[in-house]
Amino acid sequence: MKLAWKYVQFYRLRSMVFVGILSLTFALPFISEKISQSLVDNVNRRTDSTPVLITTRSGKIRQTLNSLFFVGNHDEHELPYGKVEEISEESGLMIPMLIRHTTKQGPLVATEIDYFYFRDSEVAEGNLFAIPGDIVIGSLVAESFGVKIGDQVKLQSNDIYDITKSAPLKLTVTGILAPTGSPDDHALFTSLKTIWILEGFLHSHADQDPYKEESEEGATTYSKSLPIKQEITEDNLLDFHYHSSIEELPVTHMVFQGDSHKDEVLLMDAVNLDGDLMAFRPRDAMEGVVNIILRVEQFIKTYHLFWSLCTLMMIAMIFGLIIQYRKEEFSILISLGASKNLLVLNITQLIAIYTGLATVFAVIWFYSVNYLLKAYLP
Amino acid sequence: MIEVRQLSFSYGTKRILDIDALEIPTGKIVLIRGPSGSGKTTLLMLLRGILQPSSGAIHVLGHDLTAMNDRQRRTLRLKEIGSIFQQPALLPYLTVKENLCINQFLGDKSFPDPTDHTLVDELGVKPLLKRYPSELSGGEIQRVSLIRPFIHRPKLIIADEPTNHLDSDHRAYFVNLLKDYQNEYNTSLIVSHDESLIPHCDLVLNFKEISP
Repeated sequence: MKLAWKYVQFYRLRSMVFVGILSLTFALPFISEKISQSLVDNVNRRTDSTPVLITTRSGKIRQTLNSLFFVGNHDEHELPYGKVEEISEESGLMIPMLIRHTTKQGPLVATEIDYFYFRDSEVAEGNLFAIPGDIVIGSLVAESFGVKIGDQVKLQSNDIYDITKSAPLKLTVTGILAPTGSPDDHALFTSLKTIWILEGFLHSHADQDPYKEESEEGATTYSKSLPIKQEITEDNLLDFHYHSSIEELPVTHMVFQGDSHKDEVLLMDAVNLDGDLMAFRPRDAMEGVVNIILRVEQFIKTYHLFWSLCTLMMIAMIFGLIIQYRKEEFSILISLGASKNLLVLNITQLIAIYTGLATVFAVIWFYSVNYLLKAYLP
Repeated sequence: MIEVRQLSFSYGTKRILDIDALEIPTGKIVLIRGPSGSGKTTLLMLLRGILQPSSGAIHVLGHDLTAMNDRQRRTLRLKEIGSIFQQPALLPYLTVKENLCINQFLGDKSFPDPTDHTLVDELGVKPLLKRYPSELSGGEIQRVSLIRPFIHRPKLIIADEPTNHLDSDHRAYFVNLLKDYQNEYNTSLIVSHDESLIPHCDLVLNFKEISP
């Protein structure tokens, strides 16, 4: 074993390349299966726990990815907060969501407190948001960005081309959610009111108002661009006010969990009759995606089988070449007193060392991918 | 003492070597000469026990090689015979020290530590012990390969064209080494075309090509 190990040590670069190729060959089928299985599990777990999704009419997959996984482009479609209740009065839990903003730390999800009960989400530290300006962050947001309770997070509107938009609002982190292994871990949550404030539907005016004008008749008027307060505090909380009815304020999605299956079916029927809205089961919408993932996995497995065969043939050829290359060395060793068995043992040990190292690295690859999947899969 | 009787070696139907009788007394330096294909190298391999004769008897250092099994012949090779090759024959992935005690890797646990060997000191190899062959100059490689067979003080040195890769200085040193070795220990058997070795040898054997 010592002679074989000396060989590996001396030719460390070529040994590393060899071990690298071998370890990937060993690890890839397990890694690809793990990735696809995690993706499928992740999608199924999320869609299974979301009975009905109500959105404006557009691609169901995109809407599901938007609302459940917080990924994809956020379109401009929106539905009025009170619209669904106008259409259907089936009994169940209706959770409005407004997802069209992102922060440096992750997607910003505006919703109601019920969302956390619906998802069985608990705060690990602090409290859920209570007043506009409070923000609760997912466990991975806290971990990745080192955000703590009491820290202030700046949120900006996505409309970067709008030069008249309000300045960034400072929001205060009041709670950190316990890890859930779901897309919630990557997101930041706030109340709908906060986002409505952010979007200018609710606002408060700065104390020193340079845009205030007095007419000749003594009436007070304001210019079109009102300076807006940069931070929501307990002192200025009551200053924020509506300029329209709350029923008309926008959300992007509604999640519905009926008291019974019948309630959900009736709601879907009622909503789908409306020309602007649609209601569907996310599981059905994502079934095609899941099938594609499974097919890709099957393809990768088949592809990997051929690749493994090619790699093994290549490795056999490399060992053949190594033996050929070392023929003179072996003949010297035999002249010195080595038996042929010893040389066969030497080659076997070399293969065992490479295979052993490759197996160790394959396990490391696998667990690294597993860790990354757990940490970063939305 | 080396004794060969009625020795014959063939590859298939092709006769390579025929020796009726050969006796080499202990303590002699013997040069074997002859044209290519006359069986010189084959004789060395037979004497080392790497090849088995087609017929006849070989006695080396009191051992009947034809009566020994592979393991016994290997042990004889490892412990009692020192080999010198046409090329330096150092393993590139072992340090100089490890190359000098290569027999340890091949199973001879009693092989001495070369660090304090006189030759290692005399030839200035000591500072090179931790280096790899690729880090040595041509002269240093020659010195290391020259002393390797002498480290464990074998009873028989078998050399195949040993001066091929040596410059004149190292050739002279090699001759002195053989003579010292002869005085101190035992027999040397050299296959070489190098005529400059003739005056230093006790016995010169001329091999002839075997007629088909």
